[in-house]
Amino acid sequence: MKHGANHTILFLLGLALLLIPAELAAQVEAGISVDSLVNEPFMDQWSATVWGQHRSNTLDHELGGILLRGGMIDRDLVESALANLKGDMGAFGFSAGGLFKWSSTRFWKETDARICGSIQGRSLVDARWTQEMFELAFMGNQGHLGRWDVLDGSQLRTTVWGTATVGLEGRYNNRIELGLAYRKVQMAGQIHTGYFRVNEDVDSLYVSMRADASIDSRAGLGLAINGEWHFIREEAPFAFHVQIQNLGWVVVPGGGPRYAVDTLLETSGLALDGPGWSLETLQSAGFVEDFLNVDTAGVSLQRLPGRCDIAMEYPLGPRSGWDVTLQIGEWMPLPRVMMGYRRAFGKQWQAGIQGVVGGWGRLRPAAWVRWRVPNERALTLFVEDPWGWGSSSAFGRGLTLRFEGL
Amino acid sequence: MMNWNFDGIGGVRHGALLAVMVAFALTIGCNRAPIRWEVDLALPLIDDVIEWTDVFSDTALFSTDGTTATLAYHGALSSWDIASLTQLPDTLVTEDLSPDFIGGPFQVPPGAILLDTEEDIVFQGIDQAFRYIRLESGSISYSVESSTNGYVELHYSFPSVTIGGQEVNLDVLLPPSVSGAIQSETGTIDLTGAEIDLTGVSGTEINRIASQLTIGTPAYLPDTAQVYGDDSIRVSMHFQDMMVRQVAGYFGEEFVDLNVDQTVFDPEIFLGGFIDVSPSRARLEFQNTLGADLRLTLDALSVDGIALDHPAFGVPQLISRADWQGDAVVPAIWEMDLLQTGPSFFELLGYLPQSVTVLGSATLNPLGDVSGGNDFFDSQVPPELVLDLEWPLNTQIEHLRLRQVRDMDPISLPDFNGDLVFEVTNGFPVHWGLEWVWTFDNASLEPLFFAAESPAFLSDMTEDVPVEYRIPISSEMLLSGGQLEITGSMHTDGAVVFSGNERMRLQVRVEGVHEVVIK
Repeated sequence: MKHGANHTILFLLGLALLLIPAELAAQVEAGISVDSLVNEPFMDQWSATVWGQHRSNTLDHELGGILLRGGMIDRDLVESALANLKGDMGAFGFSAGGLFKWSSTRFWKETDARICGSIQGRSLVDARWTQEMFELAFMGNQGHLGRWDVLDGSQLRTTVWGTATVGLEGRYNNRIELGLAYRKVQMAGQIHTGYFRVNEDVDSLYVSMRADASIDSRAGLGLAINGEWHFIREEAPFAFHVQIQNLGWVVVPGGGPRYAVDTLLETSGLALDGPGWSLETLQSAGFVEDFLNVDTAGVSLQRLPGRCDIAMEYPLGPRSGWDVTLQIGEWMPLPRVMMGYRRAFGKQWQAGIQGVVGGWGRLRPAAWVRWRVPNERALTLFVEDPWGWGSSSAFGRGLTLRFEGL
Repeated sequence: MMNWNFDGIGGVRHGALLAVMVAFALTIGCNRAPIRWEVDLALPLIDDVIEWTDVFSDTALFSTDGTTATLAYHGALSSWDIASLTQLPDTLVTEDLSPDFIGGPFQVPPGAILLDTEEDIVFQGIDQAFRYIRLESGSISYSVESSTNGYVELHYSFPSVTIGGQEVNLDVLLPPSVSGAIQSETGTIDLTGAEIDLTGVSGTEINRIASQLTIGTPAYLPDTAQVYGDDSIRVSMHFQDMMVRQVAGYFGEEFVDLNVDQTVFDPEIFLGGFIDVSPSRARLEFQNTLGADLRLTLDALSVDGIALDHPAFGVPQLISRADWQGDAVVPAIWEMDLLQTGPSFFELLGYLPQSVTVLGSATLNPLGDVSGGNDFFDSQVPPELVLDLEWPLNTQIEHLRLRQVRDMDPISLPDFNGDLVFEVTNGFPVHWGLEWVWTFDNASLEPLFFAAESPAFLSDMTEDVPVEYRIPISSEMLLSGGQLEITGSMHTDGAVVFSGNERMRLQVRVEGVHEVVIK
């Protein structure tokens, strides 16, 4: 059964590795709304953003790099990762994508609203594991005989989707968009309840598992809503932003396989032969089918992993300010909070530093710089965990690149 | 790592940048080496108990008064299948009806009777005189053919054959035959459970079934048959595969061989040794459940070819008929005391022989038909040769060796190094020696020999004394598959009293380091 547990976690990790396009790293978009500080007049606007990031609260770059590229995982690395858990569940997340947003110069009919739209493609990976699950998979069970290993909540899910939306943009860049969502694929597996124990004398084994997994390989279609609301007033000493992305559902046609396990084994060892759990039945054909239920998913309505960003900016002077952003959703195990200080340098440069906490990882720094290039263009680069680009002990890195027409 | 140069970057180049990043990601993602790490395993694999019933399989019944177990066996060694009483020969009956004139046509109006006959169907090839049978199974395959240009109705009744109290009948209606074509119908009547009176139409005959056959034109069809001189109506009834459940009548004076060759100890399991078998009761019984007298003669009893002598051998024994009252039977029993053989039957049995052979013969109705044709036999209650044995397990065991062989399927556990840990808890008051031989399908691997000793569990001990043994194993050995041969040897110094509750517990666990490899 231990071998089976190994395979479970390895399957989850392997799936993650297959879906992570290597170290394409960059941080999430997060709405670096520097425009509000410079108070630019309205005009035709567009922006193109690409990003990628990976983050874990446990797996540092050295261990993650081995999982990614292969190699021998030293026991010290495993013990270090175990120590990093600090009693929490382990988590790993990957997010990458591209977004193009635009708004028209023409007003819609007789209103002061303009037509706007966006098109985007995203991929997400979310993996979580209990400390015991990690220890079972990477260290085995001999080091903690007699302990109940709790596997509840260990899971892995990944998805790829895109949206194409149109809508209206009003004053202060407030906008609402509605459009089509296309979800290419989604895979998910979760252990709802799971326990593992071998006693100190190694003559009693308890394993229980209730888990399921599904692979939606057929694309689903649906609707998605994006929305932004900005509170920007000259008389107010602060700015406030709310942004909702990918609030929507897709209809999945079904047909993909679903797997379910619901079994319990409590034994002091298997009998040599006879009915039930014995070496004889274990070696007989069809034994696995007795406790692994495989069927086909039907048509289902599934929610997109949407996200809500709430941000506030407060100017500290004519050229500086601080901001805080709260992000919820998009499969993040914890809300992600970013708080930082920003400053303008001349008319063309702005920069900021931030502290980021939550999401899939612990506290890490971030920095950004915005260069306003000639011809009403701006280029922004956001780097999360800058030390992650050179240190093997960092727990992730992220990069966001935005090019926009003002 | 990243030297970004954004000078002059434009909308078109932005797409190229994304493409480069994706290509980079894919390149990194494809060049992966196997991921490897080590895990420390400690898992229980086997926990099994060996008891007396495992040794003697299901042929043994134990009883115990708490201190001494008794092996008590009362069961059939062999049952007597009398084929001549349980299977009736297949019988074919045909009726061929042809007109007595030449030419034609002859007009036959509706409702005319062409044949009405009552006769017996005689079963040939039966040496006995049966008056009644109840069938376990059987069938009648029938065929009716007609070349008559007109409807033909056939009614074949068997008043002496009933199934569930209902008389068996066959009704067939054949349409007119035109242009010389023959109309026919075939079918099968299932006779499972049929009760058959074999005394015929007169009620005094034997081995025959009363039947009535009526052939004519149906009265309810306004059809006038055109009968020619060369027309014919043919009926055939084939009684097939009739297996008898019960039979009554006179079974005759039949001579039957009575030879029994009984496997006792499988030499693949019992390798050798001696057990002091000293039963308090040991009888060989012949239980006559036949409603017929028997004369039984036992000629010889041998153990693995060693002939034994007994006062009853060669002496004809007249065994009276069983008393049948409805479905209940009180058998007549003849018995011989196995403790009176010379040399001792059980002394030979103590050497774990492979087989015991009994030779003899029996004669049915040696005094003739003394019952007036009222012999009776039920195939589900055949005569049996029964062993009645009671053996208190207060015995001596000398170098008894038992062997179990298990096939080991290949187990893929790459890069495993560790131990297979055996833990034996001996609950028998005798010293056990264990030998393990692990032979591998991979010929390059040398067989693994292992020997261990497990002390006796004595009456003054309050706790089990498990003994642990470790066998180093590797992934190569596990992957090979093969056979695990376990040989246990037992020896006592003098007689030992077994309570019957003795057990030996075998636990196997694996402990070691396994290198996980993800390719």
